[in-house]
Formats: sequence, C-alpha cells, structure tokens
Amino acid sequence: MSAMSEQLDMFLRICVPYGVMFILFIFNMVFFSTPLSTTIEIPFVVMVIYYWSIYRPTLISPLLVFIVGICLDSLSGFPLGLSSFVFLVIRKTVSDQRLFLTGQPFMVIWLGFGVVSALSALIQWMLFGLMHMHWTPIQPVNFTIIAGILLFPVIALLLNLSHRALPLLPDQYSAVK
Amino acid sequence: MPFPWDGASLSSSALIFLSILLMGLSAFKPHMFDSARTGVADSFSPILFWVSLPFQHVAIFFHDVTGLAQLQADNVRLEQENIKLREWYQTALLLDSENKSLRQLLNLKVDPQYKHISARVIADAGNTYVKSLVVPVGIKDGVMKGAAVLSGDGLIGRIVEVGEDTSRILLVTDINSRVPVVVEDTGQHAIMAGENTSTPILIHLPQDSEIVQESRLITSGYGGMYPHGLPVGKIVTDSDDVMGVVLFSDFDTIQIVRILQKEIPQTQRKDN
Repeated sequence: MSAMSEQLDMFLRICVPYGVMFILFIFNMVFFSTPLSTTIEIPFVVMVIYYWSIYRPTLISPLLVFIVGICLDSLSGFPLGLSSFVFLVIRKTVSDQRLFLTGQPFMVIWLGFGVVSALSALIQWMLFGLMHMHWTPIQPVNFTIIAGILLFPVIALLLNLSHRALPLLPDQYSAVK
Repeated sequence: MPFPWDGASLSSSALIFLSILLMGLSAFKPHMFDSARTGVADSFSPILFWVSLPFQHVAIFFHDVTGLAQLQADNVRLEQENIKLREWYQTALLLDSENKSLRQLLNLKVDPQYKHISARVIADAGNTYVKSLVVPVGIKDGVMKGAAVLSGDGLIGRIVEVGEDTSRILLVTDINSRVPVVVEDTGQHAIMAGENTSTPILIHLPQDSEIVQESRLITSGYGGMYPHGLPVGKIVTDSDDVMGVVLFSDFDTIQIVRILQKEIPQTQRKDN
C-alpha cells in the first residue's frame, strides 16, 4: 500500500468516531415530536465525552470539547460556557482516572457513567439556578440522569464499534494528558 | 500521524477558566452573544431540518395508526360539532358586521392586522433547563423579534432570537417567560409565569379575586408583546392553592408553529 493510500485509510478510520460523535451531537438537539420529548433530554454528548476520555482521550482534545459545548449552548439557549465548563470538567476528571478505568469490566464503566452523568447534571442544574437566581424543578434532571444511564450501554456499543475502526495509536498519543 | 484537534497548546484548565468567564458574561449581559448564537443556529439549521424530518414522519405515522380506533368516534362528534358551528358561523358574521359598523360610528382605532408565517420545529436542545424551540425561518422570511408564536391549539411562546435563517422561540413554560393574560369570563387580569414545568402559574392576582376552575385564559394584549385574544389555557388550582394554567398546546407533539407578524403598511416598510 502506498503512503498516500495509507494516509487516506487512516483519515477515513479517524472520520468514523468523529462521524458518530457528530450524529450523537445532532441527536442531542433535534426535536423528536414524541411524548416527554420536551421533558427528558438524553445526554448523548456526555456519553461520548465519558467514553472517549477513558479509551482515547487524544480523540477529544479539550479544545474540541470546548467548541462542542459552545455550539450546544448556542443552539439550546443555555448561558454560553455552561455546557463547555461541565464537559471540560468531565473530560479532565475521567482522563485523570483513566488508568483505573481502562481494563475494568463494563459494569464498572457503566457505574462510573452513572456517577459522572449524575454529578454533571447536578452541577449544570446548580449553575443554571445560580445564574438565574431561580431553582428549576429537580425532577426533569432526575429523569435525564435515569434516561442517560439506561441508554448508555446502547451508545457505548456504538462507540465501541467506531473505536474498532480507529488505527492503533502511536505511543506518544496514548499517554494520559 | 497526529490526531486532529489535538489542541495541546490549550490546556483544560485554561479552557475551563474561559468557560467560567463566558458564563459570567452570559449571566450579566445575556444578549451579548445573541448574534454569535444565531450564527451557529443558522449554520446547523439545514442539518437539523433534515435529521428531524424522518422522526416527525414516524411520529405522525404512529399517531395515525394508534388513533384509528378513535377516528370513528371523533368523526361522529365532529359532524355534530360542525352542525353547531355552522349556526355559530352565521351568528359570527352578523356580529362581525355589527362590530364594524359600531367601530366606524365610534371612530375606534382598530388593532393592527396580523399575518402569520408557518414553520416546522427543528430543534429543542435545552429542554431540561431552557424551554425553547428552533424554527428554520428568520430575517429573510420576515420574522421579527418579539413576535407571538402559536400552535394549532393556542399560544406557545414568542420569538427571542432571530438569525438570517433561524429563530428561537422562548416557550411560555420557560422561567423567563411572563405573559399578560385575562380570564375570559370575568375580565380579571393576571400574569402567567413559566416555571420550567408543563404548568405555568398565575401571579399578580388580586387577593379578593374569585376565579372559577377551568376558566379560559386569553392574552390581554397589555405591554404590546402579544396581541389581545390569543387562546392560552385553562385555570387549575393545586393542593397548595397555587393557581396554575393547563395550556391548550401540547408541547411534546408540536410539529408546525405559526409566527404572528404585524402587517406593516407599505409606506412604513419603505421607510424602515
């Protein structure tokens, strides 16, 4: 295989997880016209950031996470910076625990996601309340956490499939950031 | 080959600090980033439109299939309603002509005429905290900030951000929403305040107000933001005696919305 086709192959492989990420990002915003669609928000982006922070942190650099958060805030009408802050905290915290989490059985990863999604939702809820000086009902936040935990195995499977498409990482990129 | 978006020069801590800074600015100057927001929404609107389309078709399909049993009963009820409405239509025509002639006699300044723009809902990202929807119509289509938005059943909100191709609707259920309303039967004025739940509450009601449960609420037109007479919902009282409003519109299944626009006279339009 020539150098050019190798590079093209690598590029296309890298495109797979980014494509999956983009689709999940769009799913986070699109209007589904279904019962409870305006009450429950499934945290697809949190799932993506959590998964890649464990298995390939170099794939989601802090800058990319920041941009995703800003785009989500802009589209959702959130105070600008709120989602980026939460996403960056998730990325940093999970990346720091990466050595422990890598190689753990899926149940532990799932449990970890439950903790991360609950904490991130609560941080978001508290910051939003502080910024507006008005505490919104906590019940929809609980529904969001539960919906995220229940759907995580499905999304993790999808992310795992896109993970397999990735080329092997050179040593310098596998180091924890 | 290094991965794209490595961003090694920008550490997490620096970006976290930048996010906090942006949050602070957003809190103190909420409209500071409006143009940036609408720019992002404009860029994503074609993708959101096409992605939302199949889901909306599936929703319509399921609604149709599950509603087949209900159709026959509805048909009988609607036929009976239609007969009654025909009678009311004749009465309405009579009253309308009487109204016109009385207005002429009184030299009354009539309310401005409204036209409407229909649009499909394409996004509703911030549903836990921010109750808003995004529609793929903007300045190019004549949408203006502050315009009232209705579904087929009643008022749902107003336009708060307008981009070239997209607009954001702040729903009446959002905590930042305040709608001047009037009880149709008694003429009692109040403000309907969003609580981020499906049932907004009524505030600024006089202590001695006697309001009957299930009374219809319409917009009062006070403040000039919403035109007078738009259907809003019905009054309900919870166990703590807090007056809430059950809205006529079902926000979960809205697909098409109507944006009301004041008709600007041709000469005024040229001046603008």
